[in-house]
Amino acid sequence: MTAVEQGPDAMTVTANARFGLPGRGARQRALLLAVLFTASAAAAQERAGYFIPGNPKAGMSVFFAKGCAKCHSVLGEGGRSAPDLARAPGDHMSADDLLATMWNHAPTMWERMSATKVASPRFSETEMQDLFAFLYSVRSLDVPGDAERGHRLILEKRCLTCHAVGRQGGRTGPDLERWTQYRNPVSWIQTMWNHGPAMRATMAQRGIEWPVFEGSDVADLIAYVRKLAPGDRKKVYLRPANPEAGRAVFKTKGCISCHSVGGGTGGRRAPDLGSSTLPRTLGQFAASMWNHGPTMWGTMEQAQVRQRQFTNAEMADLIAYLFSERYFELRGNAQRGASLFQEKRCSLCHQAQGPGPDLSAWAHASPATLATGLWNHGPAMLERMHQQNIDWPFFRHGEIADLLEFLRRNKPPKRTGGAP
Amino acid sequence: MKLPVTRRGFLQLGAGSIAGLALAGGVPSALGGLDDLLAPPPPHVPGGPEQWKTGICSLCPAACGLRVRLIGDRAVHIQGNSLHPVNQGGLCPKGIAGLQALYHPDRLRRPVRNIGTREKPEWKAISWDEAMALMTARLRDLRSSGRAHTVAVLDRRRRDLRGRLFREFLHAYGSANYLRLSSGSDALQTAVFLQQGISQLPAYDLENSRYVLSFGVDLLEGWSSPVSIMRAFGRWRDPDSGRSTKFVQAESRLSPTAAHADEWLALRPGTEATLALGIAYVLITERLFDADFIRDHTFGFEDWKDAGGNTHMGFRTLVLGEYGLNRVAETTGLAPEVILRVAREFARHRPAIAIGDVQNSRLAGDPYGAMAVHSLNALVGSIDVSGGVLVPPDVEPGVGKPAPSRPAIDSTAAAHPLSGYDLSALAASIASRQPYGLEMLILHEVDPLFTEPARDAFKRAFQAVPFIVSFSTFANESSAAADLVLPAATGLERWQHGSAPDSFAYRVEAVAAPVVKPRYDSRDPADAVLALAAALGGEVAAALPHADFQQYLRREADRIFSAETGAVFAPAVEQAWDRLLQASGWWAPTFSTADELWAQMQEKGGWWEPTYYYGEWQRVCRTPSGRFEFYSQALRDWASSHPAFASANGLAPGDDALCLPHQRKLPEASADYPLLLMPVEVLPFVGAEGAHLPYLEQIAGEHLYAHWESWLEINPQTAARLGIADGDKIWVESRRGRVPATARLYGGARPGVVHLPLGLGQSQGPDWARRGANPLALVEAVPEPVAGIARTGDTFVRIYRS
Repeated sequence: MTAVEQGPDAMTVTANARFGLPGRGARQRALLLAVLFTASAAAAQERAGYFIPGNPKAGMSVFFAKGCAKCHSVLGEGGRSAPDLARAPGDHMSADDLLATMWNHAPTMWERMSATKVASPRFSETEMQDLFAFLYSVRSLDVPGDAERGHRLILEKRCLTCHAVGRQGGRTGPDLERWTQYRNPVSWIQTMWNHGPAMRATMAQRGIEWPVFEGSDVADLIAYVRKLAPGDRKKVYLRPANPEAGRAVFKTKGCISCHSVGGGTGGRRAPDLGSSTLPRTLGQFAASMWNHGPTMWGTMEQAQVRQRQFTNAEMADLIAYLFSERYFELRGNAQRGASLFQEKRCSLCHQAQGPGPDLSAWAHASPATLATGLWNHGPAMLERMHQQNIDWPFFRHGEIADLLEFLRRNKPPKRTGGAP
Repeated sequence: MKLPVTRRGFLQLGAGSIAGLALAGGVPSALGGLDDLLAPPPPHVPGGPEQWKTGICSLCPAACGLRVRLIGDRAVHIQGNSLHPVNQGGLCPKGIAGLQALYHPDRLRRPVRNIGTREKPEWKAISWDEAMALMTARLRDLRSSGRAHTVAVLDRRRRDLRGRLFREFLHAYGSANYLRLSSGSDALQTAVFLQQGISQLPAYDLENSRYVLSFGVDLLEGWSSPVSIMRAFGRWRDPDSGRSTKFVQAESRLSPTAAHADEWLALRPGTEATLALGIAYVLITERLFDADFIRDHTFGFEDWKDAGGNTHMGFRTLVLGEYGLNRVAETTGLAPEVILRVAREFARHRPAIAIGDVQNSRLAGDPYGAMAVHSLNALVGSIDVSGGVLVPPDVEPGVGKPAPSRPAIDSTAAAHPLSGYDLSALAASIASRQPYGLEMLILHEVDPLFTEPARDAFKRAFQAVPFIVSFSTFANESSAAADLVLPAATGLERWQHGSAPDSFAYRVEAVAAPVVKPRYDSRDPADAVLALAAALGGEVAAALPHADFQQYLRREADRIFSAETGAVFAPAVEQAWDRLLQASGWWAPTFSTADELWAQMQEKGGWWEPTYYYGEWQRVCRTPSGRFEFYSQALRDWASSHPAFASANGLAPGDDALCLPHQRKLPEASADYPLLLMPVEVLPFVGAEGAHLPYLEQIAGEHLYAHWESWLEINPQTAARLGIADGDKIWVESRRGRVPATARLYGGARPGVVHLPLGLGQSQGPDWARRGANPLALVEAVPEPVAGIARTGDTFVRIYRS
């Protein structure tokens, strides 16, 4: 697949994510990605490094073509009768979480479709893979902020003590108006990070508390500053980031000496950056880096490690890499999975004498592959469960991973025939 | 027009030459060989491989994207380009009729020069080389003698690169006289300038609006981009969208738009401002307006004090004092409870849009009325919000320095706070050769002697210009008065560029290569101008070094590449993806070099900027206060230095109403001329163009099954009183003259008001266009005081059987 066919996006498609690269190299990387993706369902569930399978741009086509957009929207694009999947739920969701959410709501969706005489769509694995990539990507995008809120924040955080916006504010730091051309919160955080130590020192002198940004704070501040700017400046965007390059940045900037990612190689002094408790969007993730800046710089100073600066591209690549890692859930707990297998009553059907299929074949399936099975077979499953008075199971965060780990390690005995 | 051939001419034709052909009358509409005279041409059955090409429609300013099917080298079918963000695959009847324009038998075929007089023209066919040499010699002579400023181009109001090219040429040559005709939206343009300080038309996000209150705008006929508006109309009723949008049309006539609206408010013609201010009255008294928006983003809502301590009336005081419900009801003829209900609906179904940009009502030529309507948008906070009124980015680069030494001829009259709209004054300046005479006038695909209310003034103006050049595809009234007529290639035969139509909030740069080779000896006017620049050499050639318009377009594509934003046209889902990314600060182009971008633009149809950026208030409002001005400070400054301005508006000097929206005084009918004439623009003839195409003639008056003639819509009661029956041939007479028409009884016409369609009644050009009558021959186009826009809805007529 070429760059144009696959289409770019912010985090995935590492093979083709950065344009301007030589076409031959892009094709080689695309081939690598294709090999990784098609290797097997088993391979797909393994942590294939930081590659996120699927094409988010194609996934958006799937989102519309399969009729999801008739009810759901993503950042305002689509229907209004069901939640905006880019905003709800508000927390970060890994691929496992996407599957769990889809699973938990599936009966409601099928019921709604049936009531409105809409056929439940069927998906191929590729389509579902792309859809997952799309939903994961779009949920990481920052939406334009609220200028009114930004106005309150800029006063509350005391930014104007040092910085001016147009005619109002201090002159210690640069006029923020000149940054309004940068449309991406990651760009703002990158600049702030680079100037952070100097800002920290000045704030300390002036008794200004280190501003901590949560939720949409950065987007809101940017919206406010932009409101006051002429608006006719050339707008500067970030190009699609390269998680592969971001992995290298993670090492070369020394992040790896304190942080690990998803339990992999790295330091243990600082939080694992693959944690699902970290923020959902790219800009918010970058802002959390800022929030911890003083702690990090303090630790670096003690360790006599030089604080690293980032270029715009490096910051974007790093964030993309960390986001790619977070697509994959940490390995689950087989013991908990065993309990869940009973508790959720999966064992009633998916046992040696059960009427349901042997789940061992799915043990290494990716969440997207499982979701494909859910959509294609789910309605029949639900019908059967209703007949047998079995409640549709509800999965919380992490439970899918536990269940899969259990299945991976404990294949149910093969059925030899006979009635269920 | 049949070709009158003299014996001499016949013999010369027989000899294979048409060089000496002398004709009486207008420009020859078709100069062909002997065979053309003796027998009709055999039907052309195209052969060859099938292919599809991308094109751009040039039959109205919307510039919809096209896909054209060819068999061999013959275009056989036109449909919309599904990738074009404006029309998204749709096409209106005008676009589909493009084939008829391309293969029209009456096209101008080669350059002709008038070797007689303007009163008795003698047309001689010449080559392009001769024509260009003529023009070059004149231009060179004028420039070398310090008279570069006396060269002017008259164009329509356009946003595409053709207009920019002509401006650049003039600027480099040394003239500021790039003159433009009216667009039909001049009153709205003026209102928006006075209230928001911006010089382009706003965009209306109709698709996302919850309530559309239109004051006579022909939304479902020819306004802005007919295709995209109709698409929005369809979405208003789309059950899958999860919402519905109410569409209310306030108009005295039951137009096709009104007939399709959810509600038709049949108000008295000319009282739109009163209705708008009556609705404002309800919003204010019931506190339904957006108080936060008013507080944070407007000026002049409340009474205010100037620097000298003088108190000025604000919008609220004006409205509460003069536009109470009962008075509004009496003036408009609408029931007070209807006004009350509509006002409440407007306020409660947000985002709501009030739109009053019209040709087909008496709001045409009424900036104060347009201000009244636009004020409603501010009252409900619908400025710069999704579903409201948006301000497209202004992407015009400058035309270079230094500025020409003499100002433009239309800016020196200084009779109005806004210049450029008073075409009567412009024509008078040209006619009187004050402050200086024009020596050369180039008509760029315009026909002011047919399309403009001030056509008589332009006729006199033409007489004062020694040399007039007309670029035109068909003969028309203005080309008949020219000295040199150059056949313009149609949009399908030349490199074409299309910008976003007015009312579209996103920047669009559509590009298309020629679909077919130019027919006959026609050429692209843009190529001709570039050739002139090259021939003139020196600074002019240096400023425009492009060999042809293709290269000029390529330069623009390179600029777009450098901007590092936007996306090439793509399917809707991909467009949505680009939008999502860009709104979040990411840009993922499908091209990595300028060459790739250029190739993709041609293949897909163009490039656009899919994201609208809200909250950039310095772009949205550029008034002295930086806010939306209910009270226009620009008008106040003007009025204070021009005492006559007040009396011209029927107000006393210092009256604050001069700076606020208000209902203008409407002229009344007389016993001699008891009927109000309101010309109407129908979709097939939008821009006063289309009557030469049979497809469009056939559907022009579909609501009455009227076509191939001028029909006069008259209320049955009025007709009965006058003894007129349906189908009667009648005369319609004003103080200016009379025209023939066919009476059509129509219950949708208000008693005492009659309507004639614009676009018919040419006296020159293709046969099919020479049917019917031009209502502008009757219209008393009085310039209004603010910008000099011609009022076309104040003419009174009488009718009688012929």
